Amino acid sequence: MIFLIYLVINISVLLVFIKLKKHLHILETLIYWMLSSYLFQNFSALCYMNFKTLIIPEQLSYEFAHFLNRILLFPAFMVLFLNYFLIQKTYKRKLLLIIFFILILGGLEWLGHTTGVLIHINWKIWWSFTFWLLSLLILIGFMNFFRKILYRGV
Amino acid sequence: MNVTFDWNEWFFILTSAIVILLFLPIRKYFPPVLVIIIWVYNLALVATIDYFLLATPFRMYIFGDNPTYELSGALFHFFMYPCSALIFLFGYDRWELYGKKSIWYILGWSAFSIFFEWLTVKNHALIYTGWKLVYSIPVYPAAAVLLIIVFRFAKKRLMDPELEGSSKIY
Repeated sequence: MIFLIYLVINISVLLVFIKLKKHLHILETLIYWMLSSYLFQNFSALCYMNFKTLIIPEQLSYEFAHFLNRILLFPAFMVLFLNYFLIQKTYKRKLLLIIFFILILGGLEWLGHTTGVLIHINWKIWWSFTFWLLSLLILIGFMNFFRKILYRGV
Repeated sequence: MNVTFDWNEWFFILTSAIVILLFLPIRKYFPPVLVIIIWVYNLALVATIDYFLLATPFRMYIFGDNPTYELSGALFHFFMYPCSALIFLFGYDRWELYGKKSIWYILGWSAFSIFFEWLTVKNHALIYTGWKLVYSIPVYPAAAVLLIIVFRFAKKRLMDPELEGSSKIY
């Protein structure tokens, strides 16, 4: 059941993502998606396997739901963040966008906890905010670096 | 976490160092943008597959000494797979091993990959807890085909006029 719910959420988000106007080149979308997924998977893997602060229930339904989330749902929002970050002109708007997406991504993490897909144990809420802030900053840094190489004239 | 720095850690370090050394002479063959695309693609792909098979509920294998996410596994993700993929693509592109030739090339690489995986198991760097070497036989050709698809797609899209000739290297 939980897998079906997340399957619907993931497919819906994916369809909306495809429909939305992109300011990123297709190769950028692909590569930022991969990096976003890698960041979230590392966070999940380290907290689950090493620190034991995240628990994925030993049920296929929950495991597959989390799998979908880490390869589709979270990366989709992270790439959307970059897509909109790119067109913000002022620092104030950029800062507001970062805060907005930290709240969305943190909210999705909280949803995962509430639905029992990714249970947080002895968790401090600032860990989540710190992780999302760092991830978004890494993505911004990587985007700046990658766009310099991608768009430079030879 | 109970990591002891013994032979299997050395195995990870030495094999990663060898593959980096093999990659260095050909690093300039592809434009930097393509190297980054292939690198990040491989990094994300292997991290996804390993986390999927290594963690709950399958627990098919472990890297290194215990069932945690070890630095040695990350070292392989970061250097071994991306460098190997780029060396594979170098041969494919440099000698234009397309069509029928690509089948033999992929089979040759897959055979070597199986041999390398066996070597990794023998050196206790990879410990099966459910996985079998035969399961890997279809994985390597599939990964190679997927890699070629990504490479050709990236190469084609780097020609997009909006990129202002960023990939005029071809």
